[in-house]
Amino acid sequence: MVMVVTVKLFLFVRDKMDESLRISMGECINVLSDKEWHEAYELHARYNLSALEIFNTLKILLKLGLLEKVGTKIRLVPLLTNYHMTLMNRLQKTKRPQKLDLYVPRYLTRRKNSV
Amino acid sequence: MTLAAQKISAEALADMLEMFAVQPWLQTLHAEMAELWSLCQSREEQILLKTLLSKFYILDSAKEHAACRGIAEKIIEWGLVHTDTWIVATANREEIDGSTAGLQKLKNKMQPIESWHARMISNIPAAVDKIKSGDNVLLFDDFIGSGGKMITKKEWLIRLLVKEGVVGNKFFYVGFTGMRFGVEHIKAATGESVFVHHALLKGISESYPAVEAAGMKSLMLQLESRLGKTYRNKKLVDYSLGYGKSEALYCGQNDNCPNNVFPILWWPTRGDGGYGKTVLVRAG
Repeated sequence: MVMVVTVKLFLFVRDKMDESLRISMGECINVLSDKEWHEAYELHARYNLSALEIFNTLKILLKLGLLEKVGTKIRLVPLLTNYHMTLMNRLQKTKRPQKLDLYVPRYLTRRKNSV
Repeated sequence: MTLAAQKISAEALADMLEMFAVQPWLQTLHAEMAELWSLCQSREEQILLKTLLSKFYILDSAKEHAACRGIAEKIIEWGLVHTDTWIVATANREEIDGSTAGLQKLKNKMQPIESWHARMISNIPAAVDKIKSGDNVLLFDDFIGSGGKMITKKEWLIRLLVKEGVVGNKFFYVGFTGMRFGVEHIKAATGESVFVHHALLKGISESYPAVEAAGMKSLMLQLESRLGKTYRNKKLVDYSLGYGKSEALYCGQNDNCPNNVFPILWWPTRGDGGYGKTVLVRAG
């Protein structure tokens, strides 16, 4: 049952999370990948992530069972299973920013762009 | 991504992470929170704000629904019937007001719905044409702060009614939410029945022992000293600790902030003459 909920949450996070959360997630996992304890503030100081981005990221990682949190200190759970690794890989996957869909490049072969 | 998220201290970040869990409505206001925290010049001031915001009461739709049901039950308990009772919002004729908006929420919670609907009036002047001698009048506001507004509006309504020769009306006062001291003030001033579904205590004076409260109020006044002295035609001194020293920690969800709330949360001008982002927004 717990696994079903986790998978549902993971699918929601993977498909629905916005760009800011996706970037925040990547930076957070990157920082924590040394498996040491870190201050949550490090995410703000190093990457300028806002309080809300940090809050949402930590909330999701906690719900997915990937994170340990004591006060403001955080670290990845010490025993990472294959399942955990799969989750982290998926969460770190980059996605083409949607704003690029609106960008139409000019053709380089057009006369006014020719060299 | 907010590439240029305002830099805040480690303590401020810890406060915000804590606050976002306790008061989810603040999550969309993280930039405003950051600015509020940066207005503080000591850790004590930040802790005061955190303490007060943790206790902040947001009237969401579930609480509003419960309040409507509570008022409907109270009206039955008072033995009032729609045939000789009017529910009047405390708005002026041309004013967009929380009382009118609240009445709209209340109108389909009173049974029988259609009969009560016809007995609800959106403002005081409009009520004068309908109220007859001996009718019961329920003055309604979404939030009762110091209670002064209710008393003033009742006196105004009576003056208008007397001009029309209408006398002998019995008055009642109801609101979704109200400050307990405001409710007591109305009771003492009028001797009539008052009901609010959610009664709130003053955020500092009635919530902490006297010595501790004095220290907290002093910190709050320090914070207020960094706000602009005036905003439009209003003077901050009139709203210090909230209008009528109400010390209210209340706002309706998606609603206009009452002036009874601590001004540090909604007063937009700053001591340096500029404007700042505020956690709550008040128009009027």
